[in-house]
Amino acid sequence: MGELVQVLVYAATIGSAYALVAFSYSLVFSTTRIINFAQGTLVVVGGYLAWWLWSGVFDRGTSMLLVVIPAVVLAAIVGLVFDLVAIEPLGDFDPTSNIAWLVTTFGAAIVVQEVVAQLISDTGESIPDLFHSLFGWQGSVVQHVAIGPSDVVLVVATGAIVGVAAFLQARTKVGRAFRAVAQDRQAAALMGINPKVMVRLSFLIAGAITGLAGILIAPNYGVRFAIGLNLGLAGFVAAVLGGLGSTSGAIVGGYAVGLVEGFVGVMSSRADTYRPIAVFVVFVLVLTLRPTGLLGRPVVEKV
Amino acid sequence: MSLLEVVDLSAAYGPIQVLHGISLTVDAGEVVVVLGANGAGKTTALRAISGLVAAKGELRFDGVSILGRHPESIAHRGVSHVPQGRGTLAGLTVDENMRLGAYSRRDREGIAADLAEWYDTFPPLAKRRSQTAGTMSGGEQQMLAVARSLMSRPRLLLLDEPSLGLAPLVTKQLFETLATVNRERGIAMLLVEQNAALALELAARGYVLEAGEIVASGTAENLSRDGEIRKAYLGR
Repeated sequence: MGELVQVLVYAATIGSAYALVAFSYSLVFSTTRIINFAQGTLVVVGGYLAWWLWSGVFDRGTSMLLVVIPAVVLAAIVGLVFDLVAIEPLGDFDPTSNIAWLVTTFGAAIVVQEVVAQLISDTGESIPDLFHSLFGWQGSVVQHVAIGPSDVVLVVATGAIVGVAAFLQARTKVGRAFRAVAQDRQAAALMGINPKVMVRLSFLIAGAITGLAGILIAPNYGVRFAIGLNLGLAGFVAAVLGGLGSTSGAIVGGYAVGLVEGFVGVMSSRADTYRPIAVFVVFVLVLTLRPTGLLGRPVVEKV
Repeated sequence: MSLLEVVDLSAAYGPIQVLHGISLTVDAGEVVVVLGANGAGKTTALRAISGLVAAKGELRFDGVSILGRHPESIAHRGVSHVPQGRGTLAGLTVDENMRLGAYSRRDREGIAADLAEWYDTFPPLAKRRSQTAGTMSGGEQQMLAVARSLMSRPRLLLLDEPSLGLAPLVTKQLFETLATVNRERGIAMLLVEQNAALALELAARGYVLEAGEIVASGTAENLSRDGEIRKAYLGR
Protein backbone atom coordinates (compact mmCIF):
# COMPACT_ATOMS: atom_id res chain seq x y z
CA MET A 1 0.00 0.00 0.00
CA GLY A 2 2.75 2.40 0.98
CA GLU A 3 4.62 1.51 -2.18
CA LEU A 4 1.58 2.16 -4.33
CA VAL A 5 1.19 5.59 -2.77
CA GLN A 6 4.83 6.23 -3.46
CA VAL A 7 4.44 5.28 -7.12
CA LEU A 8 1.33 7.41 -7.54
CA VAL A 9 2.79 10.48 -5.87
CA TYR A 10 5.95 10.16 -7.95
CA ALA A 11 3.97 9.68 -11.16
CA ALA A 12 1.65 12.61 -10.39
CA THR A 13 4.41 15.10 -9.60
CA ILE A 14 7.29 14.33 -11.93
CA GLY A 15 4.72 13.13 -14.48
CA SER A 16 3.20 16.61 -14.42
CA ALA A 17 6.56 18.17 -15.17
CA TYR A 18 7.08 15.69 -18.03
CA ALA A 19 3.59 16.45 -19.31
CA LEU A 20 4.32 20.19 -19.35
CA VAL A 21 7.56 19.72 -21.26
CA ALA A 22 5.92 17.19 -23.61
CA PHE A 23 3.09 19.66 -24.27
CA SER A 24 5.69 22.30 -25.15
CA TYR A 25 7.44 19.99 -27.62
CA SER A 26 4.04 19.23 -29.09
CA LEU A 27 3.04 22.88 -29.49
CA VAL A 28 6.18 23.70 -31.44
CA PHE A 29 5.93 20.50 -33.45
CA SER A 30 2.36 21.24 -34.47
CA THR A 31 3.24 24.54 -36.15
CA THR A 32 6.72 23.68 -37.45
CA ARG A 33 7.01 19.86 -37.71
CA ILE A 34 10.34 20.10 -35.92
CA ILE A 35 11.49 18.97 -32.48
CA ASN A 36 12.99 21.88 -30.60
CA PHE A 37 15.92 20.15 -28.95
CA ALA A 38 16.52 23.34 -27.00
CA GLN A 39 13.26 22.75 -25.13
CA GLY A 40 14.96 21.06 -22.15
CA THR A 41 17.26 24.04 -21.81
CA LEU A 42 14.22 26.18 -21.05
CA VAL A 43 13.67 24.15 -17.87
CA VAL A 44 17.11 25.31 -16.77
CA VAL A 45 16.48 28.85 -18.00
CA GLY A 46 13.22 29.05 -16.01
CA GLY A 47 14.81 27.73 -12.82
CA TYR A 48 17.90 29.93 -12.96
CA LEU A 49 15.93 33.04 -13.95
CA ALA A 50 13.68 32.50 -10.94
CA TRP A 51 16.69 31.97 -8.67
CA TRP A 52 18.40 35.08 -10.09
CA LEU A 53 15.31 37.25 -9.61
CA TRP A 54 14.67 35.90 -6.12
CA SER A 55 18.24 36.08 -4.80
CA GLY A 56 19.72 38.91 -6.80
CA VAL A 57 17.10 41.31 -8.09
CA PHE A 58 14.54 41.15 -5.31
CA ASP A 59 15.55 40.27 -1.77
CA ARG A 60 15.30 36.74 -0.51
CA GLY A 61 12.29 37.50 1.59
CA THR A 62 10.17 38.06 -1.53
CA SER A 63 7.38 35.57 -2.12
CA MET A 64 8.04 33.25 -5.05
CA LEU A 65 4.58 34.21 -6.31
CA LEU A 66 5.99 37.64 -7.26
CA VAL A 67 9.11 36.10 -8.79
CA VAL A 68 7.38 33.51 -10.92
CA ILE A 69 5.60 35.95 -13.24
CA PRO A 70 8.65 37.89 -14.51
CA ALA A 71 10.63 34.63 -14.65
CA VAL A 72 8.01 32.97 -16.85
CA VAL A 73 7.78 36.06 -19.09
CA LEU A 74 11.56 36.02 -19.55
CA ALA A 75 11.54 32.28 -20.27
CA ALA A 76 8.84 32.89 -22.90
CA ILE A 77 11.07 35.52 -24.52
CA VAL A 78 14.01 33.10 -24.54
CA GLY A 79 11.68 30.58 -26.20
CA LEU A 80 10.83 33.14 -28.88
CA VAL A 81 14.53 33.91 -29.36
CA PHE A 82 15.09 30.22 -30.19
CA ASP A 83 12.63 30.64 -33.06
CA LEU A 84 14.10 33.92 -34.27
CA VAL A 85 17.70 32.70 -34.08
CA ALA A 86 17.53 28.97 -34.79
CA ILE A 87 14.45 28.46 -36.99
CA GLU A 88 13.36 31.60 -38.85
CA PRO A 89 16.71 32.20 -40.55
CA LEU A 90 16.35 28.77 -42.18
CA GLY A 91 13.46 30.17 -44.26
CA ASP A 92 10.90 27.83 -45.79
CA PHE A 93 12.23 24.33 -45.47
CA ASP A 94 10.99 20.77 -45.44
CA PRO A 95 11.88 19.52 -41.94
CA THR A 96 12.02 15.90 -43.10
CA SER A 97 14.66 16.37 -45.80
CA ASN A 98 16.52 19.45 -44.57
CA ILE A 99 17.64 18.69 -41.03
CA ALA A 100 19.57 21.90 -40.43
CA TRP A 101 17.09 22.59 -37.59
CA LEU A 102 18.63 19.69 -35.66
CA VAL A 103 21.98 21.47 -35.57
CA THR A 104 20.58 24.95 -34.98
CA THR A 105 18.33 23.94 -32.06
CA PHE A 106 21.12 21.97 -30.38
CA GLY A 107 23.54 24.82 -31.00
CA ALA A 108 21.16 27.41 -29.59
CA ALA A 109 20.64 25.23 -26.51
CA ILE A 110 24.39 25.05 -25.83
CA VAL A 111 24.82 28.81 -26.26
CA VAL A 112 21.93 29.61 -23.94
CA GLN A 113 23.20 27.18 -21.26
CA GLU A 114 26.61 28.82 -21.39
CA VAL A 115 25.10 32.29 -21.13
CA VAL A 116 23.13 31.19 -18.04
CA ALA A 117 26.24 29.64 -16.51
CA GLN A 118 28.34 32.75 -17.15
CA LEU A 119 25.81 35.41 -16.23
CA ILE A 120 23.70 33.80 -13.51
CA SER A 121 25.32 30.78 -11.90
CA ASP A 122 27.23 27.67 -12.87
CA THR A 123 26.46 25.65 -9.76
CA GLY A 124 23.32 24.07 -8.37
CA GLU A 125 20.98 26.45 -6.55
CA SER A 126 17.72 26.15 -4.72
CA ILE A 127 14.58 28.24 -4.55
CA PRO A 128 11.70 28.05 -2.09
CA ASP A 129 8.19 26.75 -2.66
CA LEU A 130 5.63 28.90 -4.41
CA PHE A 131 3.36 28.38 -1.41
CA HIS A 132 4.61 27.53 2.07
CA SER A 133 1.14 26.38 2.90
CA LEU A 134 -2.14 25.86 1.09
CA PHE A 135 -5.05 27.12 3.20
CA GLY A 136 -3.00 26.41 6.31
CA TRP A 137 -1.94 22.92 5.14
CA GLN A 138 1.83 22.53 5.19
CA GLY A 139 2.13 18.97 4.03
CA SER A 140 1.33 15.48 5.28
CA VAL A 141 2.85 12.06 5.41
CA VAL A 142 0.66 9.38 3.84
CA GLN A 143 1.87 5.80 4.30
CA HIS A 144 5.43 7.07 4.90
CA VAL A 145 5.28 9.23 1.75
CA ALA A 146 5.65 12.98 2.24
CA ILE A 147 3.32 15.18 0.23
CA GLY A 148 3.77 18.95 0.34
CA PRO A 149 2.13 22.04 -1.11
CA SER A 150 4.65 22.15 -3.99
CA ASP A 151 3.49 18.69 -5.15
CA VAL A 152 -0.14 19.77 -5.19
CA VAL A 153 0.73 23.05 -6.93
CA LEU A 154 2.60 21.18 -9.66
CA VAL A 155 -0.35 18.89 -10.41
CA VAL A 156 -2.99 21.63 -10.23
CA ALA A 157 -0.92 24.02 -12.35
CA THR A 158 -0.45 21.36 -15.02
CA GLY A 159 -4.18 20.73 -15.18
CA ALA A 160 -4.92 24.45 -15.30
CA ILE A 161 -2.38 25.17 -18.05
CA VAL A 162 -3.55 22.35 -20.26
CA GLY A 163 -7.20 23.23 -19.62
CA VAL A 164 -6.70 26.90 -20.46
CA ALA A 165 -4.68 26.03 -23.56
CA ALA A 166 -7.36 23.64 -24.78
CA PHE A 167 -10.06 26.24 -24.16
CA LEU A 168 -8.13 28.96 -26.02
CA GLN A 169 -7.48 26.65 -28.96
CA ALA A 170 -11.11 25.66 -29.23
CA ARG A 171 -12.89 28.93 -28.52
CA THR A 172 -10.84 31.90 -29.69
CA LYS A 173 -10.06 33.28 -33.10
CA VAL A 174 -6.31 33.04 -32.54
CA GLY A 175 -6.76 29.48 -31.25
CA ARG A 176 -8.63 28.47 -34.40
CA ALA A 177 -5.97 30.14 -36.54
CA PHE A 178 -3.31 28.24 -34.59
CA ARG A 179 -5.01 24.92 -35.30
CA ALA A 180 -5.44 25.91 -38.95
CA VAL A 181 -1.69 26.49 -39.32
CA ALA A 182 -0.96 23.23 -37.47
CA GLN A 183 -3.14 21.36 -39.91
CA ASP A 184 -2.32 22.96 -43.22
CA ARG A 185 0.06 25.87 -43.34
CA GLN A 186 -0.67 26.71 -46.96
CA ALA A 187 -4.46 26.60 -46.67
CA ALA A 188 -4.17 28.76 -43.55
CA ALA A 189 -2.08 31.35 -45.41
CA LEU A 190 -4.69 31.47 -48.18
CA MET A 191 -7.23 32.45 -45.53
CA GLY A 192 -5.09 35.41 -44.54
CA ILE A 193 -3.45 33.80 -41.50
CA ASN A 194 0.26 34.57 -41.16
CA PRO A 195 1.88 31.19 -40.38
CA LYS A 196 5.07 32.85 -39.14
CA VAL A 197 3.16 34.64 -36.38
CA MET A 198 1.60 31.36 -35.23
CA VAL A 199 5.02 29.69 -35.18
CA ARG A 200 6.38 32.51 -33.02
CA LEU A 201 3.38 32.17 -30.74
CA SER A 202 4.01 28.46 -30.31
CA PHE A 203 7.66 29.06 -29.32
CA LEU A 204 6.61 31.82 -26.94
CA ILE A 205 3.98 29.70 -25.16
CA ALA A 206 6.21 26.62 -25.11
CA GLY A 207 8.98 28.73 -23.55
CA ALA A 208 6.64 29.98 -20.84
CA ILE A 209 5.26 26.53 -20.01
CA THR A 210 8.64 24.79 -19.94
CA GLY A 211 10.16 27.62 -17.92
CA LEU A 212 7.32 27.29 -15.42
CA ALA A 213 7.92 23.54 -15.20
CA GLY A 214 11.53 24.31 -14.26
CA ILE A 215 10.36 26.62 -11.47
CA LEU A 216 7.68 24.27 -10.14
CA ILE A 217 9.96 21.25 -9.78
CA ALA A 218 12.81 23.29 -8.28
CA PRO A 219 11.68 22.94 -4.63
CA ASN A 220 12.00 19.14 -4.92
CA TYR A 221 14.76 18.74 -7.48
CA GLY A 222 16.73 21.95 -7.21
CA VAL A 223 17.94 24.29 -9.93
CA ARG A 224 20.59 22.33 -11.80
CA PHE A 225 21.82 21.99 -15.37
CA ALA A 226 21.31 18.20 -15.31
CA ILE A 227 17.59 18.78 -14.73
CA GLY A 228 17.33 20.32 -18.19
CA LEU A 229 18.77 17.21 -19.79
CA ASN A 230 16.58 14.87 -17.73
CA LEU A 231 13.34 16.74 -18.33
CA GLY A 232 14.21 17.53 -21.91
CA LEU A 233 14.73 13.85 -22.67
CA ALA A 234 11.82 12.52 -20.60
CA GLY A 235 9.52 15.20 -22.00
CA PHE A 236 10.56 14.31 -25.53
CA VAL A 237 9.93 10.60 -24.88
CA ALA A 238 6.55 11.49 -23.34
CA ALA A 239 5.58 13.64 -26.34
CA VAL A 240 6.46 10.94 -28.86
CA LEU A 241 4.95 8.20 -26.70
CA GLY A 242 1.64 10.05 -26.48
CA GLY A 243 1.68 11.17 -30.10
CA LEU A 244 3.45 14.32 -31.27
CA GLY A 245 1.13 17.21 -31.97
CA SER A 246 -1.62 15.87 -29.73
CA THR A 247 -2.34 17.78 -26.53
CA SER A 248 -4.00 14.86 -24.76
CA GLY A 249 -1.20 12.62 -26.01
CA ALA A 250 1.42 14.84 -24.33
CA ILE A 251 -0.43 14.61 -21.03
CA VAL A 252 -0.97 10.86 -21.23
CA GLY A 253 2.66 10.39 -22.30
CA GLY A 254 3.95 12.53 -19.43
CA TYR A 255 2.10 10.60 -16.75
CA ALA A 256 2.88 7.25 -18.43
CA VAL A 257 6.61 7.97 -18.24
CA GLY A 258 6.10 9.11 -14.63
CA LEU A 259 4.32 5.85 -13.79
CA VAL A 260 6.98 3.65 -15.36
CA GLU A 261 9.71 5.52 -13.48
CA GLY A 262 7.67 5.35 -10.28
CA PHE A 263 7.35 1.57 -10.48
CA VAL A 264 11.06 1.19 -11.10
CA GLY A 265 11.63 3.40 -8.06
CA VAL A 266 9.90 0.96 -5.70
CA MET A 267 11.15 -2.22 -7.35
CA SER A 268 14.83 -1.48 -7.57
CA SER A 269 17.39 -0.17 -5.16
CA ARG A 270 19.33 1.20 -8.10
CA ALA A 271 16.39 3.12 -9.52
CA ASP A 272 18.47 5.87 -11.10
CA THR A 273 20.19 3.34 -13.32
CA TYR A 274 17.11 1.36 -14.27
CA ARG A 275 14.60 4.21 -14.75
CA PRO A 276 15.84 5.32 -18.17
CA ILE A 277 16.20 1.71 -19.29
CA ALA A 278 12.61 0.89 -18.33
CA VAL A 279 11.33 4.07 -19.95
CA PHE A 280 13.08 3.34 -23.24
CA VAL A 281 11.90 -0.28 -23.26
CA VAL A 282 8.30 0.92 -22.92
CA PHE A 283 8.98 3.63 -25.50
CA VAL A 284 10.24 1.15 -28.09
CA LEU A 285 7.40 -1.31 -27.33
CA VAL A 286 4.70 1.33 -27.74
CA LEU A 287 6.20 2.72 -30.95
CA THR A 288 6.51 -0.78 -32.38
CA LEU A 289 2.82 -1.39 -31.80
CA ARG A 290 1.64 2.16 -32.54
CA PRO A 291 4.18 4.12 -34.60
CA THR A 292 2.17 7.35 -34.24
CA GLY A 293 2.16 7.14 -30.44
CA LEU A 294 -0.67 6.31 -28.06
CA LEU A 295 -3.05 9.08 -29.17
CA GLY A 296 -1.32 10.36 -32.29
CA ARG A 297 -2.77 10.34 -35.75
CA PRO A 298 -0.60 9.90 -38.80
CA VAL A 299 0.43 13.13 -40.50
CA VAL A 300 -1.18 13.18 -43.92
CA GLU A 301 0.65 15.36 -46.38
CA LYS A 302 -1.51 16.53 -49.24
CA VAL A 303 0.30 17.24 -52.48
CA MET B 1 -8.22 49.35 -65.45
CA SER B 2 -8.83 45.70 -64.80
CA LEU B 3 -9.20 44.25 -61.33
CA LEU B 4 -6.50 41.67 -62.00
CA GLU B 5 -3.71 42.30 -64.46
CA VAL B 6 -1.25 39.57 -65.29
CA VAL B 7 1.48 40.60 -67.72
CA ASP B 8 4.19 38.29 -69.02
CA LEU B 9 4.09 36.13 -65.90
CA SER B 10 6.57 33.24 -65.64
CA ALA B 11 6.90 30.62 -62.94
CA ALA B 12 9.05 27.56 -62.36
CA TYR B 13 9.32 24.69 -59.91
CA GLY B 14 13.06 24.51 -59.45
CA PRO B 15 14.61 24.05 -62.90
CA ILE B 16 11.29 23.19 -64.56
CA GLN B 17 9.71 26.20 -66.22
CA VAL B 18 5.92 25.86 -66.06
CA LEU B 19 4.62 29.26 -67.15
CA HIS B 20 6.30 31.00 -70.09
CA GLY B 21 5.10 34.57 -69.81
CA ILE B 22 1.32 34.51 -69.72
CA SER B 23 -0.83 37.62 -69.81
CA LEU B 24 -4.46 37.87 -68.82
CA THR B 25 -6.92 40.23 -67.19
CA VAL B 26 -10.06 39.92 -65.10
CA ASP B 27 -12.38 42.90 -64.79
CA ALA B 28 -14.33 43.72 -61.66
CA GLY B 29 -17.36 41.44 -61.41
CA GLU B 30 -16.31 39.38 -64.42
CA VAL B 31 -16.03 35.58 -64.67
CA VAL B 32 -13.06 34.39 -66.70
CA VAL B 33 -12.15 30.78 -67.44
CA VAL B 34 -8.76 29.27 -68.18
CA LEU B 35 -9.01 26.09 -70.27
CA GLY B 36 -6.19 23.69 -70.89
CA ALA B 37 -5.04 20.09 -70.74
CA ASN B 38 -3.51 18.50 -67.66
CA GLY B 39 -0.05 19.89 -67.06
CA ALA B 40 -0.64 23.04 -69.12
CA GLY B 41 0.11 25.20 -66.07
CA LYS B 42 -3.42 26.22 -65.04
CA THR B 43 -2.97 25.40 -61.36
CA THR B 44 0.46 27.03 -61.35
CA ALA B 45 -1.05 30.19 -62.82
CA LEU B 46 -3.53 30.43 -59.93
CA ARG B 47 -0.85 29.58 -57.37
CA ALA B 48 1.38 32.31 -58.78
CA ILE B 49 -1.45 34.85 -58.51
CA SER B 50 -2.20 33.97 -54.89
CA GLY B 51 1.47 34.02 -53.92
CA LEU B 52 1.98 30.30 -53.30
CA VAL B 53 4.53 30.05 -56.13
CA ALA B 54 7.28 32.55 -56.83
CA ALA B 55 6.81 34.24 -60.21
CA LYS B 56 8.41 36.79 -62.50
CA GLY B 57 6.66 39.41 -64.60
CA GLU B 58 3.90 41.80 -63.63
CA LEU B 59 1.03 40.99 -61.33
CA ARG B 60 -1.37 43.72 -60.24
CA PHE B 61 -4.55 43.56 -58.20
CA ASP B 62 -6.67 46.69 -58.19
CA GLY B 63 -3.77 48.62 -59.69
CA VAL B 64 -1.28 47.62 -56.97
CA SER B 65 1.56 45.19 -57.63
CA ILE B 66 1.17 42.00 -55.58
CA LEU B 67 4.15 40.22 -57.11
CA GLY B 68 6.33 38.58 -54.46
CA ARG B 69 3.89 39.23 -51.65
CA HIS B 70 3.05 36.54 -49.11
CA PRO B 71 -0.18 34.56 -49.65
CA GLU B 72 -1.72 35.93 -46.43
CA SER B 73 -1.12 39.51 -47.54
CA ILE B 74 -2.64 38.84 -50.97
CA ALA B 75 -5.64 37.23 -49.25
CA HIS B 76 -6.03 40.36 -47.11
CA ARG B 77 -6.36 42.46 -50.25
CA GLY B 78 -9.40 40.52 -51.40
CA VAL B 79 -8.10 37.62 -53.49
CA SER B 80 -9.46 34.31 -52.24
CA HIS B 81 -8.03 31.08 -53.65
CA VAL B 82 -10.00 27.83 -53.48
CA PRO B 83 -7.21 25.36 -54.16
CA GLN B 84 -7.52 22.13 -56.07
CA GLY B 85 -8.37 19.32 -53.70
CA ARG B 86 -10.28 21.92 -51.71
CA GLY B 87 -7.92 22.79 -48.86
CA THR B 88 -10.61 22.54 -46.21
CA LEU B 89 -9.20 21.99 -42.74
CA ALA B 90 -10.34 18.41 -42.24
CA GLY B 91 -9.88 18.30 -38.48
CA LEU B 92 -11.86 21.49 -37.79
CA THR B 93 -15.63 21.71 -37.79
CA VAL B 94 -17.60 23.25 -40.63
CA ASP B 95 -18.38 26.25 -38.46
CA GLU B 96 -14.73 26.74 -37.49
CA ASN B 97 -13.74 26.57 -41.15
CA MET B 98 -16.39 29.17 -42.02
CA ARG B 99 -15.30 31.53 -39.23
CA LEU B 100 -11.65 31.18 -40.25
CA GLY B 101 -12.71 32.24 -43.74
CA ALA B 102 -13.51 35.63 -42.22
CA TYR B 103 -10.16 35.72 -40.39
CA SER B 104 -9.03 39.03 -41.86
CA ARG B 105 -12.35 40.78 -41.20
CA ARG B 106 -13.14 42.82 -38.09
CA ASP B 107 -16.86 43.55 -38.58
CA ARG B 108 -18.59 41.18 -36.16
CA GLU B 109 -22.09 41.92 -37.40
CA GLY B 110 -21.15 41.62 -41.05
CA ILE B 111 -19.51 38.26 -40.34
CA ALA B 112 -22.60 36.99 -38.54
CA ALA B 113 -24.83 38.17 -41.40
CA ASP B 114 -22.63 36.52 -44.03
CA LEU B 115 -22.48 33.32 -42.01
CA ALA B 116 -26.27 33.18 -41.95
CA GLU B 117 -26.49 34.01 -45.64
CA TRP B 118 -24.03 31.36 -46.82
CA TYR B 119 -25.58 28.72 -44.59
CA ASP B 120 -28.83 29.69 -46.28
CA THR B 121 -27.25 29.34 -49.71
CA PHE B 122 -25.61 26.00 -48.86
CA PRO B 123 -28.16 24.17 -46.67
CA PRO B 124 -26.09 20.95 -46.33
CA LEU B 125 -23.38 22.99 -44.59
CA ALA B 126 -25.85 24.45 -42.11
CA LYS B 127 -26.96 20.93 -41.22
CA ARG B 128 -23.36 19.87 -40.62
CA ARG B 129 -22.13 22.99 -38.81
CA SER B 130 -20.61 21.16 -35.85
CA GLN B 131 -19.37 18.18 -37.85
CA THR B 132 -15.66 17.80 -38.64
CA ALA B 133 -15.04 18.91 -42.23
CA GLY B 134 -13.08 15.76 -43.08
CA THR B 135 -16.10 13.55 -42.45
CA MET B 136 -18.19 15.16 -45.20
CA SER B 137 -18.58 14.01 -48.79
CA GLY B 138 -16.43 15.44 -51.56
CA GLY B 139 -19.25 17.63 -52.83
CA GLU B 140 -19.95 19.02 -49.38
CA GLN B 141 -16.27 19.73 -48.81
CA GLN B 142 -16.10 21.59 -52.11
CA MET B 143 -19.16 23.59 -51.07
CA LEU B 144 -17.43 24.37 -47.78
CA ALA B 145 -14.26 25.47 -49.57
CA VAL B 146 -16.25 27.91 -51.72
CA ALA B 147 -18.44 29.12 -48.86
CA ARG B 148 -15.39 29.63 -46.64
CA SER B 149 -13.74 31.72 -49.35
CA LEU B 150 -16.90 33.81 -49.68
CA MET B 151 -16.75 34.48 -45.92
CA SER B 152 -13.71 36.67 -46.59
CA ARG B 153 -15.84 38.95 -48.83
CA PRO B 154 -13.37 38.59 -51.67
CA ARG B 155 -13.34 40.79 -54.73
CA LEU B 156 -11.74 38.04 -56.77
CA LEU B 157 -12.29 34.32 -56.33
CA LEU B 158 -9.68 31.95 -57.78
CA LEU B 159 -11.32 28.57 -58.35
CA ASP B 160 -9.13 25.57 -59.18
CA GLU B 161 -11.14 22.70 -60.69
CA PRO B 162 -14.18 23.06 -58.44
CA SER B 163 -15.90 20.17 -60.25
CA LEU B 164 -13.06 17.70 -59.65
CA GLY B 165 -14.46 14.43 -58.29
CA LEU B 166 -18.02 15.68 -58.02
CA ALA B 167 -21.11 14.00 -59.40
CA PRO B 168 -22.52 15.78 -62.49
CA LEU B 169 -25.64 16.92 -60.66
CA VAL B 170 -23.64 18.32 -57.73
CA THR B 171 -21.35 20.10 -60.18
CA LYS B 172 -24.31 21.64 -61.95
CA GLN B 173 -25.76 22.93 -58.67
CA LEU B 174 -22.39 24.34 -57.63
CA PHE B 175 -22.04 26.23 -60.91
CA GLU B 176 -25.56 27.60 -60.59
CA THR B 177 -24.68 28.89 -57.12
CA LEU B 178 -21.46 30.44 -58.44
CA ALA B 179 -23.44 32.21 -61.15
CA THR B 180 -25.89 33.56 -58.56
CA VAL B 181 -23.08 34.73 -56.27
CA ASN B 182 -21.41 36.47 -59.20
CA ARG B 183 -24.66 38.14 -60.28
CA GLU B 184 -25.84 39.23 -56.83
CA ARG B 185 -22.55 40.03 -55.12
CA GLY B 186 -20.53 41.12 -58.14
CA ILE B 187 -17.58 38.94 -57.11
CA ALA B 188 -15.14 38.43 -59.97
CA MET B 189 -13.94 34.89 -60.62
CA LEU B 190 -10.96 33.34 -62.36
CA LEU B 191 -11.85 29.74 -62.97
CA VAL B 192 -9.68 26.79 -63.99
CA GLU B 193 -11.86 23.93 -65.11
CA GLN B 194 -11.80 20.62 -66.95
CA ASN B 195 -15.52 20.75 -67.54
CA ALA B 196 -15.22 23.24 -70.39
CA ALA B 197 -18.88 23.21 -71.37
CA LEU B 198 -20.09 24.25 -67.91
CA ALA B 199 -17.25 26.69 -67.43
CA LEU B 200 -17.93 28.47 -70.72
CA GLU B 201 -21.57 28.82 -69.73
CA LEU B 202 -20.58 30.56 -66.50
CA ALA B 203 -17.75 32.68 -67.88
CA ALA B 204 -17.90 35.78 -70.01
CA ARG B 205 -14.41 35.34 -71.43
CA GLY B 206 -11.77 32.68 -71.55
CA TYR B 207 -8.17 31.84 -72.28
CA VAL B 208 -6.66 28.60 -73.54
CA LEU B 209 -3.39 27.57 -71.95
CA GLU B 210 -1.09 25.07 -73.65
CA ALA B 211 2.32 24.08 -72.30
CA GLY B 212 2.58 27.23 -70.21
CA GLU B 213 1.57 29.66 -72.94
CA ILE B 214 -1.72 31.29 -73.84
CA VAL B 215 -2.62 30.13 -77.33
CA ALA B 216 -6.15 31.50 -77.67
CA SER B 217 -8.50 33.91 -75.97
CA GLY B 218 -11.89 35.46 -76.56
CA THR B 219 -15.45 35.68 -75.38
CA ALA B 220 -16.96 32.49 -74.05
CA GLU B 221 -19.32 32.48 -77.00
CA ASN B 222 -16.54 32.64 -79.58
CA LEU B 223 -14.45 30.08 -77.76
CA SER B 224 -17.30 27.59 -77.67
CA ARG B 225 -17.81 28.04 -81.41
CA ASP B 226 -14.12 27.56 -82.24
CA GLY B 227 -13.67 24.23 -84.00
CA GLU B 228 -10.28 23.42 -82.46
CA ILE B 229 -11.48 24.15 -78.95
CA ARG B 230 -14.67 22.19 -79.46
CA LYS B 231 -12.60 19.20 -80.52
CA ALA B 232 -10.01 19.50 -77.75
CA TYR B 233 -12.11 20.48 -74.74
CA LEU B 234 -15.79 20.02 -75.54
CA GLY B 235 -15.52 16.64 -77.17
CA ARG B 236 -17.78 17.32 -80.14
